Amino acid sequence: MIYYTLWRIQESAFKKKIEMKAGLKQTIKDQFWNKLISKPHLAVILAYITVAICAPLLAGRDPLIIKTSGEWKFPGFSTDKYFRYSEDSLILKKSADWKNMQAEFILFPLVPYDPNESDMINYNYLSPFDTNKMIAGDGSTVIAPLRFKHWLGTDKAGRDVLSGLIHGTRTTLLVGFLSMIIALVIGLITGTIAGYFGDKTLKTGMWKIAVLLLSALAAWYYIMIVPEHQPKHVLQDINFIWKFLLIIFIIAFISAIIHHATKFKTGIRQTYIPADIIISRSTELFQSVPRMILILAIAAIMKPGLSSIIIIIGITSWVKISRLFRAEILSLKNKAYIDVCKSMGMSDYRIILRHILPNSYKPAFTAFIFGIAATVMIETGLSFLGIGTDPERASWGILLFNGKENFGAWWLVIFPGLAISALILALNGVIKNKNGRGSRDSIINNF
Amino acid sequence: MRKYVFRRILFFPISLLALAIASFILLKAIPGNPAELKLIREADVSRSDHQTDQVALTMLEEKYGLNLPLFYFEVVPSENNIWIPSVNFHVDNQFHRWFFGDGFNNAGIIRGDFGISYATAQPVSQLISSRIWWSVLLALFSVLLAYFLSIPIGLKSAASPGSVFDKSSNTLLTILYSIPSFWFATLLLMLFANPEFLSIFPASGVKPLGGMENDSMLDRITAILPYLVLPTITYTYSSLAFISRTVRISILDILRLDFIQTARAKGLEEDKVLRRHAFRNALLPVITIFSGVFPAAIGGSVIIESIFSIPGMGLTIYQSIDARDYPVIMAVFIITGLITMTGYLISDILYALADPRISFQKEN
Amino acid sequence: MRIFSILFLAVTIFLFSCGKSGKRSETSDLNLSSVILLDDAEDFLPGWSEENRVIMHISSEPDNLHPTNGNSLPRLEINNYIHGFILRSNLEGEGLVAELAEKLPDVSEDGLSFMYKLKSNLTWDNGQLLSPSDVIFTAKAQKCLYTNNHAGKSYWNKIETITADSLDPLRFTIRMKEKNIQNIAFLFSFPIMQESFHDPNGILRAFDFSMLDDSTMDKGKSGILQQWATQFNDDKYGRIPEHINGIGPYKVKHWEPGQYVELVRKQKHWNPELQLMPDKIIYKVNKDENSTLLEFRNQSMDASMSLSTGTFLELASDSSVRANYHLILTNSYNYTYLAFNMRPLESGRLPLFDDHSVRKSLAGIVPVDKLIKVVYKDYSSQCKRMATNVSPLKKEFNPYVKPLPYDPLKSSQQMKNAGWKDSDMDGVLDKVSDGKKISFEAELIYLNTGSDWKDMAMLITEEFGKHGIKVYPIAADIRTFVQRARAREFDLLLGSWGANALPEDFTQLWHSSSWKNNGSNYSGFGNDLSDALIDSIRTELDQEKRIRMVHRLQEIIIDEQPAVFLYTSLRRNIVHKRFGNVKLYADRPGILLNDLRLLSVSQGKTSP
Repeated sequence: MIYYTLWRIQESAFKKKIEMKAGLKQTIKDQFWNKLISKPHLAVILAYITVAICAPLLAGRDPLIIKTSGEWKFPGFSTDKYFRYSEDSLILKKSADWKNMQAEFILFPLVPYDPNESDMINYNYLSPFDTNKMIAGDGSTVIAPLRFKHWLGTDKAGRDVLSGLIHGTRTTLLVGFLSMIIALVIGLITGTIAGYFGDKTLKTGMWKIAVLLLSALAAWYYIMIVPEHQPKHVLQDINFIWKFLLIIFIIAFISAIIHHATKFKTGIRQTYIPADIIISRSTELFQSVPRMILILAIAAIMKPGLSSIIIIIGITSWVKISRLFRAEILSLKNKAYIDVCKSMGMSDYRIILRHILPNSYKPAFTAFIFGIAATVMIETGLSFLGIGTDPERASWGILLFNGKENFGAWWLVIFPGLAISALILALNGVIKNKNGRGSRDSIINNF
Repeated sequence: MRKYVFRRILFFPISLLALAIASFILLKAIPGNPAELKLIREADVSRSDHQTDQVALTMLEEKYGLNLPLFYFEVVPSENNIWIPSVNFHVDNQFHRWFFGDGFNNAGIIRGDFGISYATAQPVSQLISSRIWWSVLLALFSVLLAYFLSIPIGLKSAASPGSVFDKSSNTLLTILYSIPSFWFATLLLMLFANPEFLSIFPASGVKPLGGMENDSMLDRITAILPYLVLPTITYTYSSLAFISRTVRISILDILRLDFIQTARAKGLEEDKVLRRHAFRNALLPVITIFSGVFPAAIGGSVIIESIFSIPGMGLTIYQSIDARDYPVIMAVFIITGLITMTGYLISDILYALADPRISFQKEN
Repeated sequence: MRIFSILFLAVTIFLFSCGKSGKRSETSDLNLSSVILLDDAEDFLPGWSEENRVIMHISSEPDNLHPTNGNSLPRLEINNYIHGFILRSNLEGEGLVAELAEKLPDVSEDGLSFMYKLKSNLTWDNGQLLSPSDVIFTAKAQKCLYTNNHAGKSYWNKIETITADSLDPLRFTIRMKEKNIQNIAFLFSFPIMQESFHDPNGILRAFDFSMLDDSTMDKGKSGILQQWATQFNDDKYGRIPEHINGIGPYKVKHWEPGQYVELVRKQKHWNPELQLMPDKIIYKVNKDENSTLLEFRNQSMDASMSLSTGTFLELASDSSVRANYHLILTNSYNYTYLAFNMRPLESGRLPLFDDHSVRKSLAGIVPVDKLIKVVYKDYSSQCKRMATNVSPLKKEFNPYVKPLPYDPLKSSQQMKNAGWKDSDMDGVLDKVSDGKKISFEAELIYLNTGSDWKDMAMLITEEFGKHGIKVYPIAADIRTFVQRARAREFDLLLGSWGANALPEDFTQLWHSSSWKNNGSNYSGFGNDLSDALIDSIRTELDQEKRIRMVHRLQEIIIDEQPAVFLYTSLRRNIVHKRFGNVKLYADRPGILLNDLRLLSVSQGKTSP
């Protein structure tokens, strides 16, 4: 009987759990999908993402499909550097003259040009309405067929604008997403610690701090300083940022070991860590310098390149996310159900991971999306100033930068500008706000 | 609560010191030896007959103190074994000279002396004061313009939420908001400073050529105004959406409150309710935005200033970073930091005084 | 919302298609002479301003206008009009001409003493006569340890002493420490200062030349010197108009920071042509290409020598601009090159370019014609190809040295012979060297200051890629560029050197000592023969002999290919047609603004 009752209780609990799960799904669908996301804007963003992912297939020099000497080949898809035209002729793909190649069948991407390829026949700002020329196989100049047309014109070195736009989408989204992920990770960790633990919760033994500090100093010494003084050190040519991450990783590792090794020891003198004060003051520190200046200063330190830009934007945009998390968690922390969790003896990590973060995703999500919009602006702005990603990588900002010298070439200004504006518009509108009110209004949030 | 305020004030100089050290480290990490760069005359970078002089380089390094160690101590590998660190202490170092002065021709930032610009040999404070004026003016203009335009829009949209005006203004402002400023500036130039289309405004600069010493104040203002129109528009357009929406939301929030219902119940006209009661109370968050203007003005806007050739702070900082002109960049870091952090300090203390819950929460 | 976007697109596209970009095909004949005199405009068009002032565009502000301390290019140019120089380079012919001096100096037999005589009618603004003591003061101030002219000191340290003639108050003698072809020429870039203005108490008179750079001088004396130098270095002498003093025809009237520098013509001056010169010269700063373009369309600027090529070509393609402006490309002595790192192992790089057959074969795949076409477009025929480091405009040019032709087939064969093959089929050539396989991957650094550099770098990258050479183009700002070039942290370097018409001392760029001391011999060229040649060229005063030696040097350079020399840079000149007597020079500064004469409204001819 007792067993039966117990079994019934268990069963009902199980059922409830399932219901809860289903309910959660429903809630997510209802709360997130229907109420939060604006479908048309999402469609635009997805279109951009598709273009970014398929960029090499949409625009590129190598044909997608080609049939020579009775064999089907797919140079556009393969990573081989050489193309086997026939049994005994091997052509370096970069130097292949695809447009005049004798083939039984040939299919080019939508735009048969690489973004960096200079078409010296159609150079010097070819407008979208001008006639395109090309060099035929016999060396004579002829009018190009429609499939080799530069649909959105070229810049002064004969680079195709449409191809640049398509590949630029990739750069822009890559920078946007990756840098915001960096910002999100930093912001999430600092914001949660500051909000949840405050100043008077986090306790630890003095000696632990001492050990950690010492190990941090040691790690800094052996990773940053020793390689400078020792020729041919393994770490000599590694970027500063990677070394820094390595140090953080080592410190985290050591602190985990200390934590587990001393779990059951008590009676050591403990002290509070004022986590909130430390984090809040450092966010203030970050905010006290105008962001663009900070970015310019950091950009001067680092080698130019895509990864640098991502890191620079990432480490200068975590502040807002951190503050949002902190505020959100502060308001959740005093809710009754958290107290219940605490009274049940749940660990802090469990409470944070299971009960707080799932309830505070909304501001983070919103900040993430708007952060991408802001990142797009910054990245293109930097390229416009001539600081930016590596020169071989197409970017919308660089297209605009190229248009700077020549007002007549309106196609260099209008199309990238529209692409940027439309993306930002979509990103800013994708989070719905009923009747335009509520504290999470996109524009207010993003400002 | 007194304890909270006390602690908050105590942390202020610590934060400032942290800012000073952080900006010092950041800038020293930028590659390039300013002394060497100074020796390369711009004219010589591309001149085949230039000469380099080791003696001059050493002298210049000594003069700027660049031969000194960076900080009070440094950790280096000890001579015998690279794996054992040793610590060297230096009383006279670059940070010390920058912060406390060298007792000779530099008084140190602690006494308000930001040193002498490497690039132009001008005292930094002089350089900044000759540039900051335009940034502040533009920021002020654009904020006033933004308020002037967006408060009525916000009010009108709040009066009838969901109306055609509300929706269309919202859409338009959102589109404006999504346009990158450098692109917008380029378009403005193409449209309004281009003889092929409309040539109404000057294309660059902030002042007509030739001195204006003899002109009256009014003449000066009318002469300068056309130069500021396009930059002001570029500064302003994206914040329109922000301010008008803030106005709209705070009014909608207030309209829901009891005292508005009372006002309505006693038969006040809707127009009066809006203007007399709702607007006044909704203004507070709008005014708060104003406090952000001055730090922003000191930073200036790199892109807008370089497009319109405005000799403001943004352009100056950009060029200083390019020229590795440390004294100027560090001065900007410190000044903006000081102003922003003072702003935070005051607002935190005021909030704590007004709302005891805040300090209570922190104490807990 | 969709309607809005479409409308916006439609409107903007409509607006901008109005400004059609026409293309200009006419090109003027190649002109190799050192000066071109343009025809004056026939009519004075009604829209033109009648104000007799020249508004000159500069792309960056001068750092200051101090007579000695400063290092920006605009400063040098503005100083041309404020100050006087003993000699100037002869823009219309070759060599030097005297300005403050009566004629070029008499040289003593040992080639170390130079006797000058000043013109007799030269007066400073306060009426004082220019005397040798001003020249001596200038030299002392330049040489003094404590003045801030760090970049210029090395020129002045070569002076042993200057003595005023005891009989003739206008004569003086400069004695140099050693023989050098530039012993006369160096004077042309340093202005003469007035002693009574900067040193009224005659403090420097107490020090003779050898004492001025003596750092071991006793405290008391050096204290006096330092005190004077602190006063002399004061920023006000380079910024506040009343404190800028020179013997030139113009003086600074107003300097609006970041905006413009205004020069006005002096009321009284010794130059007989003073009254004909423009009343004012205003240097206006504009860094942004877009708005510079609009300034010229709006006729709010009169002249520029520093437009970007793109902006110039865009302006030149506009017929309404051509109606108002002279737009001329002129040859200059500057040239562009692609340098190889010839001593990779000594500078810690991969051994790619240490083999001179590799360098030669790469010279065969640098698409020089394409580069010129991309930069100068329809005007590319005006641009001269460089073969070696001596511009074809100079008389030292060796006409028998021809640039290596573009020949990809031969190049690939040469690369194969040198041992570079793509053995692992990764599209990049490789070679086994010292038991290690190295891929042909090279870093190419170039300046990020203009889009031309980037376009050229990208073209080279593309072309080299087709031949299995992976190039990583790296844009660097001017400071990083110089830093990396000096530390030899590059494999390929795209840059340019400026030069002038005067006899060139090749030590800085091509002597191997200048590679060892981190000087400007970036590629690391130099062997015993070339070093000896360069040393002799430096001191050979006999024109004929020197030219023969320079010819020999060029033969060595073309054989060694330390760099692929690309083309002579063209100067982009734009001058408003309301001015007549426009002379464009091959040498710097390209134009003398005080030559310009405002055409009179009635006659359309130069006013008397």
